[in-house]
Amino acid sequence: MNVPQRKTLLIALVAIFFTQTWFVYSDPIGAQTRLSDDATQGRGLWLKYNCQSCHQLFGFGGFLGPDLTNVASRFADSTGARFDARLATVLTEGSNRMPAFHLEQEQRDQLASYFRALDEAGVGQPRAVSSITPQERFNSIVQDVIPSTEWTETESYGWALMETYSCISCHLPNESSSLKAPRLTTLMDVSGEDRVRQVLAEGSLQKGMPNFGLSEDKIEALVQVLIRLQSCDEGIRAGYGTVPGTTTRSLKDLPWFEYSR
Amino acid sequence: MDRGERMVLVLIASALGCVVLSLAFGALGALAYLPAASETLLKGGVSLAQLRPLHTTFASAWLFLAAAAGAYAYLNTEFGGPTAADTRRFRIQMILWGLAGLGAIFTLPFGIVSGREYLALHPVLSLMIWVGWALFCWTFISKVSKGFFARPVYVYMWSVGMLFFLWTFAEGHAYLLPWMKQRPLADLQVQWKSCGTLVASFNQMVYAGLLYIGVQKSGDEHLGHSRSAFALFGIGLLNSFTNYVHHTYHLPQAEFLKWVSFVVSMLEVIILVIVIKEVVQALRAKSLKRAKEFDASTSLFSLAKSWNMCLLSLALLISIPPLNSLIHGTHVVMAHGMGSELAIDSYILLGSIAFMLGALFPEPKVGEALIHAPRVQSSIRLLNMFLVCLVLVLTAEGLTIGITRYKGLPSPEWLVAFPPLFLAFGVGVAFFFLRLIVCWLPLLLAPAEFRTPGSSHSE
Repeated sequence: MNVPQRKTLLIALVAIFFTQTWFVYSDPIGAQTRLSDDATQGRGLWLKYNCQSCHQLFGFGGFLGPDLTNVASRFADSTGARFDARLATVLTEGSNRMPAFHLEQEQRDQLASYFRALDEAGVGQPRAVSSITPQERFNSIVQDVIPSTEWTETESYGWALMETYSCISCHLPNESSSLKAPRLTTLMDVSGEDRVRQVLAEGSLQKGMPNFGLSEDKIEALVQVLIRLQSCDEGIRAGYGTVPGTTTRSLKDLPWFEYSR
Repeated sequence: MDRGERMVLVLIASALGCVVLSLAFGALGALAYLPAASETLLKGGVSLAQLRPLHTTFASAWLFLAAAAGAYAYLNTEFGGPTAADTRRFRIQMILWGLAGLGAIFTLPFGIVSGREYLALHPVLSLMIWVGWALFCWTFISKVSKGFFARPVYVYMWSVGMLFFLWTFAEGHAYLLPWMKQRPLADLQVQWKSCGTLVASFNQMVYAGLLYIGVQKSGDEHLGHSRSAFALFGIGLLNSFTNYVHHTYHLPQAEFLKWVSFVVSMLEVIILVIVIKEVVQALRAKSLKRAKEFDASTSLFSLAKSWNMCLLSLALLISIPPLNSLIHGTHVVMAHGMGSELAIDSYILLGSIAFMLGALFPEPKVGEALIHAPRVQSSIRLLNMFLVCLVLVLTAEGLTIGITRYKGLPSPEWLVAFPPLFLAFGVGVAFFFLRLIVCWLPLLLAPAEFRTPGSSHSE
């Protein structure tokens, strides 16, 4: 290649680089999402404690912990209290392999603001579009396997408590979760009834299970429903994948660019 | 040993020191994936939050320092020994980089971090690295600038790589700007633009060294001036500018940036075809004629080429947006990144170091006993074997997680075997990498003992 051609090539490449750079810097879409002051402080804490070494945001970061982009909606309820409670537990007491950071209330609120802002900004992980939440899906499968007429009163109470305390946020019904919480439907076999009762009464702070301050009758109800779910483990596992109301989870539906909620 | 040769040796020694640290921190970090070991580490006040930034910082340092050694070796050969000003600049740059390295060791474990992925150092330490690099650029560019456009393509690649670093390393610190602090999506866009082009910066320098050595070994100067060489340089650089967007397909941003990235990424199929052709030709030539003696550079370059074929194929696949969404945020990305840095960049750099050591210590006995020793050969073979296993395990794990995550299926039971496999293969890679370095250690610790009189460039 002769010298004039080389000069042209280099000039063209430099021009392309600066044009690309200008487009990125001036992109209005990326600039639209703006954090509040609290959320900005929360971002500062995220950086200060180097959370990205274990956790991901939008799929970027370490692999030890889960992606936290949409953690706020994962623990969502009408008041936001469930998410705040979960964040408080994890940040003050640690969870499994996550150290306890002992953050103050104000710092936890700032982080919560940051996570809420990120949740609104986009979706961190691709999932096939589903028309129902994981809780609704679980309810639907269990209702198919165990019709409501077959529940005892204690079991029904325990079932309602499971939804109230959102057990499946951490304990998935038929698989180990990324938080390493044991599978819900085999819990009684794996841990034994005595251990389950103990954990329900005291929590298991080292492993990330909060102490919910449950009364004796609540513990009894939860134990009964766990025994019942265990007895239907096979049916519940078979139920996943055939639940009506969901869209087809086909690989052909993989998103081209942005992920759907 | 003249000043120029000592500079190259200092850079090689620094680079190898950094990779040793990176491998050690990486192996410790892999322990964090085992629950029992993780608990022990946490009790000792050690977590992945400290180990990961240490591992990535020193991995980056290894790549850049080793690539810089190649550039200095070229300067020595082409322009003779360094001037007094060159030596002063070198001294200052090494002091700055050395202080930054020490700073990393004494800040990162104590939580004094930026919190940024791959740029974990405190900004003050980053500034020291940047200033040192600017001095390095000054030395190189001031020498090659005369008659620059007539020089071979590897000079373009070194120059572009070096200057690119100055821009992109600074760009990676845009998160410090008040405007950026409040805009998380723009922050991620620019962060990944900077990360992607930082990789491009060392890739340009690594390949420049490879091409330079190729010209030296073959004696064919035309290799550095051919139209195809410049065309590949152009495609490679173009990809570097735009490719990074395949990491951010899913972020809300201007869609045309994503399409440009996708289309330009697919241009790499041209490079893949060329690499496949070269690998096939090399395999045919190898089957016809067995090399009489083992040569570490040739062996490592040859392996790097084969890996390039495989990892480039993987990269092309995961640049296709739907497949990208499937594996985004999974260990497939780790397989791609770690595989490329180890199996392509590090192999080429190790091969370059073997070549440079051969030039610095031309005595045949030194080559046989140390540089191209049987132990080096076995280390390379076993390192490669463990690396294949590591990349395969990461890819399988990532693909499995991606598919089950997307379809909402339960994770298969076998995934619990992943952390021990990751640790075992990772430690295997680290061990044989270190074993190879140990073979060359005597040359770095006591170079005078292995030099024969009259072997200096200046004489």
